[in-house]
Amino acid sequence: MRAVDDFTLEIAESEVFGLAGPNGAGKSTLISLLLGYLEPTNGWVRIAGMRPRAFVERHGIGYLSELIAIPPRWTLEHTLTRYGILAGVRASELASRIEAVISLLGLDEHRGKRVKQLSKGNLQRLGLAQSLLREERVIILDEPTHGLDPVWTQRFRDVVQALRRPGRVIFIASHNLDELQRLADRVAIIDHGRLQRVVEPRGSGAGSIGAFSYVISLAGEHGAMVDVFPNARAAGEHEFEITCDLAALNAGVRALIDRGALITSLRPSHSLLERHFREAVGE
Amino acid sequence: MTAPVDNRRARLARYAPWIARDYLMNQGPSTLIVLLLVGFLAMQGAGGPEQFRQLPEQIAARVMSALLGTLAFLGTFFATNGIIANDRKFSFYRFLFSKPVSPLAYYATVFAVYGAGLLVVTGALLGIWALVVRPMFEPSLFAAVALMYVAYGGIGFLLSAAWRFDWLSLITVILVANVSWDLGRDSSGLGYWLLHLLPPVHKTDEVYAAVLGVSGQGVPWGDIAWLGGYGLACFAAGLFVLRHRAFASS
Repeated sequence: MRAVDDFTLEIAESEVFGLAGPNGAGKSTLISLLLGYLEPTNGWVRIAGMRPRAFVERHGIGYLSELIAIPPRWTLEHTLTRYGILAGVRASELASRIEAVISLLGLDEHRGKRVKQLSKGNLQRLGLAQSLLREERVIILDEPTHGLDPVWTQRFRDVVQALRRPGRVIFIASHNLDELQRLADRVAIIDHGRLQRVVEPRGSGAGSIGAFSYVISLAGEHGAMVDVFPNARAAGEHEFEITCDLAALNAGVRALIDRGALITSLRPSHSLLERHFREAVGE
Repeated sequence: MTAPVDNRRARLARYAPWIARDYLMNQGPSTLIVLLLVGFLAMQGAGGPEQFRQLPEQIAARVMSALLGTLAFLGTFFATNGIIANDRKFSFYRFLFSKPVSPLAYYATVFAVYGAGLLVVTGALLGIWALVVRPMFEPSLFAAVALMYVAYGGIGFLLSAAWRFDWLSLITVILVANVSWDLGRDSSGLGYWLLHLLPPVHKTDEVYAAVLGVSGQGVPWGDIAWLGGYGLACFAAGLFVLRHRAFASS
């Protein structure tokens, strides 16, 4: 059985690229191919023109795996020291780098704990911390917010935003479509090992969203709503769901304001990416 | 902030003390405890420490030869058991080899450091032997353990690179080799060649005896070359397997 098949994809420098797919879609296999832990039986994978294993052995990749596999008897601080040495951080810089990632990910109170004593969320943060010990050109994060509480999920997004650099590729595989919607410039949706489509969740390119549904909330009744958006249907008290493209939405909002309506909120009725995902995987 | 980087060789040299620490906290104590137990049983069999101390030099050397063989095999077995297979089995390779490190260089370093660790354990055991029986610190003892580490350890390294049941297969290989060399030493034709593909375990006793001066003959250089060469060939085959066998399964 082929875990990934008929799959062609190019990721540009400086891009935050998302990968979404249901369980067993081939995400982990694809990441193993990118790290050189698997060789393709057919076709090829290149990173900056090099075979993945050659690239990793020369430059390294900041990698957070879905399964945080670290020897359980290592302490958190020793774990970072070991991985920092292997990552090639100089002895003179190592302590400050470790302090920086410990501080960034709020692990200070756990530094002396053994890996086996860490909670799932702290283990996940340790996994992320070890991937950030060095300034890597390529960062691969596999289910990065798995096990994180809502506060750290949000912090994680801030961390990823701060990691954006010219020339750096950040590759995020996640079940969390909302997360990919917020972070990724493009998202590939795969199913049964095949690339279904590539979406620009916030862009206006070929893969971006056309007509879409939004919910508009008004401060009180306003008759202009049905004039401006004839297909609007009530979605709650002073709330309306409309379906239109971005240009029509903006023109309509302007018309509502011109006619004296007070808009209290405007939001997509569901994630843009979610719609693509449902279509792509046939749900 | 950009963290400066070391070159690859320097990285592994800096990491080597951590590998040594792993050995001295895990495999080293296991080896020490089991060998102390074996030595204690041998001593009890000879009538206790007092009797043991009074054994003639030649007899003590023979006991030492038997203990040395046990140390070399068990020490190597503990050191190389799971040396690669465990990292695969528990997925430890995922973070290790996302770093700019060659798995070949990494495991070759682990193999070398664990070998040095076994020599430290040998030194500790000889220290205890010196206190309980009589001082014996000939460098040839360390050389014999190092040789057996290369011979047995090379096989263990290959088996660990090839699959997860390395401990079971190493014991099986050594047992099969022992029985085969005992039964088929005079075979000819195909049997002769097949026999010579097996580890030359029948040569180990001669090496220990020569090292301890109980054989009455000179250094068996041919046997040493055969044992060492076999282990090194297996070690090289292990590196080859490591290079070509995928870490992950799809």
